[in-house]
Amino acid sequence: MPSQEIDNLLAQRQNARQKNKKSQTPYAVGLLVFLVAAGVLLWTQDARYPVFWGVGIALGFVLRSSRFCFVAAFRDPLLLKNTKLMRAMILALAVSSTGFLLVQQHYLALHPGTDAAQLPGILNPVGLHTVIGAFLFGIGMVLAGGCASGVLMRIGEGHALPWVTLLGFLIGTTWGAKDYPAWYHWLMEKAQTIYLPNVFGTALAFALQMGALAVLYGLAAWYQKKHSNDKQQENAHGN
Amino acid sequence: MEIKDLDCLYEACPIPLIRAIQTLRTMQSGDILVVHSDESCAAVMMQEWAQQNGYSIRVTESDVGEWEIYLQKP
Repeated sequence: MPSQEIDNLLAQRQNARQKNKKSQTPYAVGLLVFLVAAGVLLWTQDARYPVFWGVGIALGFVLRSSRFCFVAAFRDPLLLKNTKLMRAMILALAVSSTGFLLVQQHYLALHPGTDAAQLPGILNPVGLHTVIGAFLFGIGMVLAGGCASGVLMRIGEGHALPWVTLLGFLIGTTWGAKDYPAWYHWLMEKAQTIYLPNVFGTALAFALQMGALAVLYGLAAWYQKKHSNDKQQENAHGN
Repeated sequence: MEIKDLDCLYEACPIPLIRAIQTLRTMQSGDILVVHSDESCAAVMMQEWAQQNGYSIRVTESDVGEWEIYLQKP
C-alpha cells in the first residue's frame, strides 16, 4: 500500500544526496564487446561452442532476473512463510521431468534395452547417501547464501562475497572427489538405480510423478495463503 | 513518527530481512525503517514480505549497487 510519509522522506533524502550515480553504460558496452568477441573466438574452434556460450549467458540472465534460487526455495517457506520460489521449483521439476521422459523414451527407441543408469538425464542410485548429502548441502548452501548457480550469478552481478563461497566450493568439491571412493564403497555400491518407468510402466510413472508434484504445489500454495489470511486478520484486529 | 536507519551493507541474504524484522518489532505503528543493503535480492525479498504482512514499502537504488528500502509499520 502507498504511504505519503515514505514518499516525503524519500524525496527529502534524494534532494540531500548530491552525488550522481556513476554511469554503468561504458561497462555494459565493454561487456557486450567482450561477449561477442569471445563468441566469435569460440566459433573458430568449434561451431557448437557459441551455442553453449549463448545458452550459458541466457541462463545467467534468467537466473538473475527471476531470482530463481534453490536456497530461497527451501529457506523462505520456513523463514518467511513464502512459497513462491518453492512452487517455481516444483513447476521446473514438472517441466524437466516431462522433457527428460521424452528424451529418454526417444533414446530407448533408438537403443532398446539400455540400462537405466546409462540413460540421458544422469540417473543416480538412491539411498542413505542421498539423505546425508542433501542434509550437508542444505546446511552449506544456507550458510553460504547460495547454491552453485546462485553463487556464480552473484559473482556475475558484481558481489565480492560469493568469491569466498566459490573458493569454499572448490575446496569442498575437491575434498568430495578425494573421499568419493570411500562413500561409494560404504553406501552407494549396494544402492539401486530406480527408474520409475521400469517399475510402473511409462504412463503410470509419469502420472504418479505429475500427481505428486501437483499435490506438493497445492500444499505450498495453501500454506502461503493460510499464513497471509492469518496475518491480515491479525492486522485487522490490531488496528 | 520515528525514523530509523539500519546498516545492512555487506550482509548476505537473508540477514538484511531478518535484522529488519527484528528492528521493526521494537518500533511503533507509523514509524519508518530505512534499510541500507547492497544485496539485490534483499529488496525483492522485502517487497514480498511487506506485501504479505501489510507494510508500506518503497525501494530506491541510492547508488550503483546499493539500495535503500523504506518500510513503514502498519
